[in-house]
Amino acid sequence: MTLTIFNIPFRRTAFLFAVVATLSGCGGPSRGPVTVFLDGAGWFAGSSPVKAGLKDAGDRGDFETFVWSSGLGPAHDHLVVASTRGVGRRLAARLEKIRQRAPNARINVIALSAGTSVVLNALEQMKPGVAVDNVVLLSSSSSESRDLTPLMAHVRGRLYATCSTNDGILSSLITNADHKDGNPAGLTGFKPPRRNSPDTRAAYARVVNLPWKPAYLAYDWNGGHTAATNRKFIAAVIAPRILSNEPFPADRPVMAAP
Amino acid sequence: MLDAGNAAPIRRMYTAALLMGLAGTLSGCATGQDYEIGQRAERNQEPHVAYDAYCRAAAKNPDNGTIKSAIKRVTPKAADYWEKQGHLAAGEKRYADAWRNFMHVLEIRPDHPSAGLVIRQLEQQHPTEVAYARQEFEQRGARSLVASGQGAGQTQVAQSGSTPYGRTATADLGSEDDIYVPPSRVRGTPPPPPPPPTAGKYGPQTGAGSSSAVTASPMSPMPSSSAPIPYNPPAPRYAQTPTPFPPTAPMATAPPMTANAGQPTGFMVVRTLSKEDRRYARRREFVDGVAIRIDDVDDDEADLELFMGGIRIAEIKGIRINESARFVGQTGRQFRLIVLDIRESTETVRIGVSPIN
Repeated sequence: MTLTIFNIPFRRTAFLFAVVATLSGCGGPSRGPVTVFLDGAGWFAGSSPVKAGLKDAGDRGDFETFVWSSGLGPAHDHLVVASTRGVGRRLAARLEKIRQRAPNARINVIALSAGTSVVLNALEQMKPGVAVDNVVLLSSSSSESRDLTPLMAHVRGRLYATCSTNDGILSSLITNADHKDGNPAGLTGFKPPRRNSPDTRAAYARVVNLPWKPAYLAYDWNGGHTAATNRKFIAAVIAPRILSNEPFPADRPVMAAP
Repeated sequence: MLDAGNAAPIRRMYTAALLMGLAGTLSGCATGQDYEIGQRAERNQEPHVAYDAYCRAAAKNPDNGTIKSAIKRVTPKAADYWEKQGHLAAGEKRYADAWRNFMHVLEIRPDHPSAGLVIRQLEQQHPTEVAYARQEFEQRGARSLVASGQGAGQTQVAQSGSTPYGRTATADLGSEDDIYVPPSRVRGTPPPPPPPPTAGKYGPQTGAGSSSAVTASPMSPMPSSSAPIPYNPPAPRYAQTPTPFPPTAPMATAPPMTANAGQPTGFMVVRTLSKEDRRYARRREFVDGVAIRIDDVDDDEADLELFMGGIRIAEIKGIRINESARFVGQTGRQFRLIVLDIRESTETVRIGVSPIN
């Protein structure tokens, strides 16, 4: 008599169970880079090209999409959900769990538009001593004048922010996703706060704005809002910065190191 | 013979042809003069000039598909060009120029497989020589990436608005620190050393109470090319064992550059001065407490004045492009100024200053 489970032979069942367990993350800690991606408000097409771009650049690590959308439409997500501390806390917990599972792995966080507000909220709420490696904010609808000093304590490497004055969506925003004043950072880049403490200078010495320039047309980013997630742009411009152990030579941080 | 039945289709055909011609003309106009300059440069096998021209066109029309295609087409060739210039400069021990050229490669192709590694090599092996170039880049960005000195001033010509292929409609020089170079340097080959200035054209002049002197001297010949530095083609970026990035201390002033005795190593600073063009100042501080002012520009000659602490310390009369003059700064260090370009129409002069050891 053959032992069966749900009418499936036991050996096959055990094999299937092992496959599922491995795929679900029970197979052991990840050693490669881990990329967590957040899409924009009401936008669900960014993860695929970003993932493909990273793969094109040689990233063999894990890629996961953090879903933060409420499903109630882009306006609700942008105006309400993106600035909700609970959503930020949920992402922070997810990042802490990844870090706990893979203490030495490189964790990169990439986000688009209102998703960047969720990321910034999450970084502010992370536990002390826990950090991700690099953060990439594509076409951020968070405020340019948001003080990044406290959250940069949870970023080991650099925070990159693409910006473009050709971004028609950000140009027409009534309010930023984080409800703070100023232009969206995705238009003009992050600006350092007026107070110039050593901590602020140290933090902003690792914040790099990537303003659009004609050279990026070769990589299919024309300065548009969602075009920054384009596969070629991610592979050629973003990946070299976040997949390497060393600072990218052409980076110009917002402030000089103290 | 045309009848009512045949006339309508023929009229439609002519209308369609007219519209197509109009569209073709308009699309060409929409790409602009910069695009035309880029096209001519491409035909003349100068991808770096073409690239700059197309980028200028794209800045005005980022959604234009024709310009985008052109940029995509010349991007690899322009990056190759600057890579070659970088290796040439490194072989001639012009490490600052080499650094700038490879940074230029990275600006064009951020995913270039070896430019980043070569840049780090230069920073590790020749930190003093490239320190000023790095400092300039951090302050001014890509506009500082001009290979200066006698090596390769090939870049940014298009940005100056003045190229062998014509002047752009806007002639926007952008930042006042943009470099434009004499036409003799835009042909894609390493230019010969500039001819020595006429000896004795401007004798030594000293200001009262100052320790500086201006002497005209012939340009020292470029050092003969030494064996090129072996740059082993590095493996792809992510296959390398990561090496710690050398920490760079913040610099308030550029450290002294080492060089062969008497040989300028590259420009410490390049400035544009103008009497008529309001985008530029008529007088600016250059190095070591010395400021330079345009007195007059006539034909292809310029009259310059040097100041220290508000006091005029020297006059240079009738200096021409590629001619130089020596002066001593506040600290006693010697420098050489070289006239890079003169535009009589706007009485504008471009000057580079380099230290002499």
